[in-house]
Amino acid sequence: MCNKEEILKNVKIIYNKTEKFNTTRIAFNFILPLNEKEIAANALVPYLLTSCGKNYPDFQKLNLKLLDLYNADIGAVCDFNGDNQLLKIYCSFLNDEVTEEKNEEKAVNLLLDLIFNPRVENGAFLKEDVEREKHLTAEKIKALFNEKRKYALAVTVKDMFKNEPYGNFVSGNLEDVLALTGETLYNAYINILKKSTILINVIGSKEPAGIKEKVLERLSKIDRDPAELNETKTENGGKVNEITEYAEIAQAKMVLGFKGEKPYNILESAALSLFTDILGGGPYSKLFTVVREKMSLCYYCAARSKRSKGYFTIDCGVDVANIEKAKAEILNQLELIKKGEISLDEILSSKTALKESLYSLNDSQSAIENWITVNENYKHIPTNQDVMARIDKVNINDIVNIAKTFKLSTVYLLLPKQK
Amino acid sequence: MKFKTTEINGKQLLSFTHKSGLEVFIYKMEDFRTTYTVFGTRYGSIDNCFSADGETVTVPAGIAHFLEHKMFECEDGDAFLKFAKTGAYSNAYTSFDRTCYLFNSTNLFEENLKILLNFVSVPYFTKETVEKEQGIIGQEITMYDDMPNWRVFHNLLNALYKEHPIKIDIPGTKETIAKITDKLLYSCYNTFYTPSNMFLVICGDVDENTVAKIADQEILQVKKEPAKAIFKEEPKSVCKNFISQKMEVLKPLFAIGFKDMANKTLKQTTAMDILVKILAGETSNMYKRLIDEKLIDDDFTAEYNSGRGFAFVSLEGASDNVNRVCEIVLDEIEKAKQNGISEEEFNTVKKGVTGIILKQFNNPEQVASMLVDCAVKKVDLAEELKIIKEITLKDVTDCLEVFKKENYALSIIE
Repeated sequence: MCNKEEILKNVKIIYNKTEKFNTTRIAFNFILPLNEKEIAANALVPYLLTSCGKNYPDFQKLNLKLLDLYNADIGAVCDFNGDNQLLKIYCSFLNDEVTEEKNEEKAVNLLLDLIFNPRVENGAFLKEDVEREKHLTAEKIKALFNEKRKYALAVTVKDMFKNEPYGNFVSGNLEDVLALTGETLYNAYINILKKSTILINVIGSKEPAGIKEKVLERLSKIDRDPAELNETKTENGGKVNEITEYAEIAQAKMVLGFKGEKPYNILESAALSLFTDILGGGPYSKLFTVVREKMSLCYYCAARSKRSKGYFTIDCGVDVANIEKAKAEILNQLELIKKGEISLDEILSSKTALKESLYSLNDSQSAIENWITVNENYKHIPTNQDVMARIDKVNINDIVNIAKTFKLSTVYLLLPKQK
Repeated sequence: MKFKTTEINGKQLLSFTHKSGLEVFIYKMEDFRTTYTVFGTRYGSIDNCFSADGETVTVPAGIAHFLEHKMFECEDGDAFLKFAKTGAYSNAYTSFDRTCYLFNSTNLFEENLKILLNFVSVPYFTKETVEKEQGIIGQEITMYDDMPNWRVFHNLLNALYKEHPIKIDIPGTKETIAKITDKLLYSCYNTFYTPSNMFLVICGDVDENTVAKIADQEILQVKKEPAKAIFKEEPKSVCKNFISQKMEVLKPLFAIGFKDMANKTLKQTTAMDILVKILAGETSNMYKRLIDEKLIDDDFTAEYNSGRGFAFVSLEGASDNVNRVCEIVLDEIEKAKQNGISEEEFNTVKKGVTGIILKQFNNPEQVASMLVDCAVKKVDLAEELKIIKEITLKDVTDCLEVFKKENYALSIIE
């Protein structure tokens, strides 16, 4: 299904042909080892590059150009993939058959122009652009506090990995963002082009003409020296950290963070997915049926795993008076899984649900693109069918065994301020 | 069964009216594995006063949403658990003017459709199950009360509207839901869940004859005229032009609203959509000035909302200087009124809007969402697409009259 070509050392173009969409999606993924000192600068660069360029001096002109290309979508994403930093710049545009105009070539050229022809002077990004993007990122970090459920989860994960680079916000910490300058960002930009592993994913009905040559021409001007990517580590054990914060809220938020012994790649992750799904995934899960439906303690009470870093969280919104009751029951449900008290019905429902979401993978260009990015390191990129076959093989012992490897690491509470 | 066929974006939209009065829309997406199905009723949070059996009934706020929760409970078990057996993702939502039940599946479409049609067609409420739900929904309401973005928007509606029930929070309050009983739920169900007030939208690779056959098996209610909600007359101008609430936020949140005349034509609402993008979209001078002065961040939104008896523009965001935001918003609107909108700007935004719609045909859920919206508003999707092409600069410029002082309100959370 995928055609993968390494066009330079650690630079690959991966083409996934699919006829069902009226758009083409191209994503440049720049992957670097996670380094605490570089997180903020690296994370801001993709946003800077997609907000303006040498030929589009402000975002208003760029946005007009995008609308003129029938609302071509250009965007940036920053994330951690295990102990590596993933910086994505993507473009999604309507195919020429739909617009009956030369839309595709213009969109590809625009994307390349933004990535390789930034608005810089004397070895620095321009102050007005830098200040604008710094402000937007800083506001995003601050605004997290307004979304208490997300905030509680983010603070918990930060605490679980506080002694390693992973224990940072994906956009970096606020003070690091505020300290960035046009020079530091330009250095980060050059560093990204030189040091990163680059995956260029193309999802669409045809590969845009000449894309390989266009990328090679631009990269040939850069003295590439790709860095070796980190092998992700996860360790558990040690004492449980308890954090309590207060805010003017009516409903308390509780998050429990659990660490496993190692990260899991996509083919190893089937038992982990089933374990957290049976615990607190779908409406058949233990937390949903007992803590929400039977005991009416919470509107949401969910377990979610992050296989690439080997951890999972349980979060819920609960009345203060019921916190201990909810916590005890959540831990009790987890213990039941460890003791093997899992019904065949639960396993079957969970397997069916997980396979359902895998089936739909090929119905979304962004889902296909993300799948390829995080699984690219296989010689043959696993398909959704490969993962479904693994899910089918998981038995109750696999679920019990994986559940037993996780240890509680952080208990986070966000409580209403006492009036 | 005779189907009406329309070609949209290279694929077929089939529609028919079932003998029960249920309207069915099927968009054939043969190359997609996912099927997205919505069974909905034109009944939402605003329908809290209606006439039933010759009497005017006023029901507690939040009952449409409460009913939505309770529909999943069947005499022979929970519908969620039935879907769990097939693996389909199922959910439901209640908004101002609709309640929709949906599933998203990649397998066993027929079984899933039967479950959906069956559980929404057969109500089952008891005193005990209603009491249990009051606990869960009470938690949901508390969660919303802690969400400043939700509050700033709903407070704006309270400022814009004096009588129209859009001003009431969709889930109600803990006090109003405490008054809900199984009898009241049956009364609302029997009034609004009649097939002629409902629609079924399916997007995916499905056989239309199978859908018609399953509808025959599961929809047993006979056709009857749907009841109408009763609305008090709403004044043209806003109820109040300022509303504020104190909550712990890092910076004040704002929602600026302009109340519009309700029940406009499809062409007028489409022109309003385009106008709002021209005035406040990411290519507008308004947006550029707000960003350049660091007054907003990129979660600023500008939308036109309309439904039964209501229509308004809302501009929402967070800012340390809400007064300055308002100044710029009003100044840019004034400039547009004075200087007009350029043909070039209009054409570019129109091209962009066309692109936004065309891209939605890549996703069964998004096509379903467009079709649901059309079904609720009783408009034709093909007609809507045609109208966008026909909209002129004059149509859009004519809409500028909405933006006047007596239609303006500001809601802030600080």
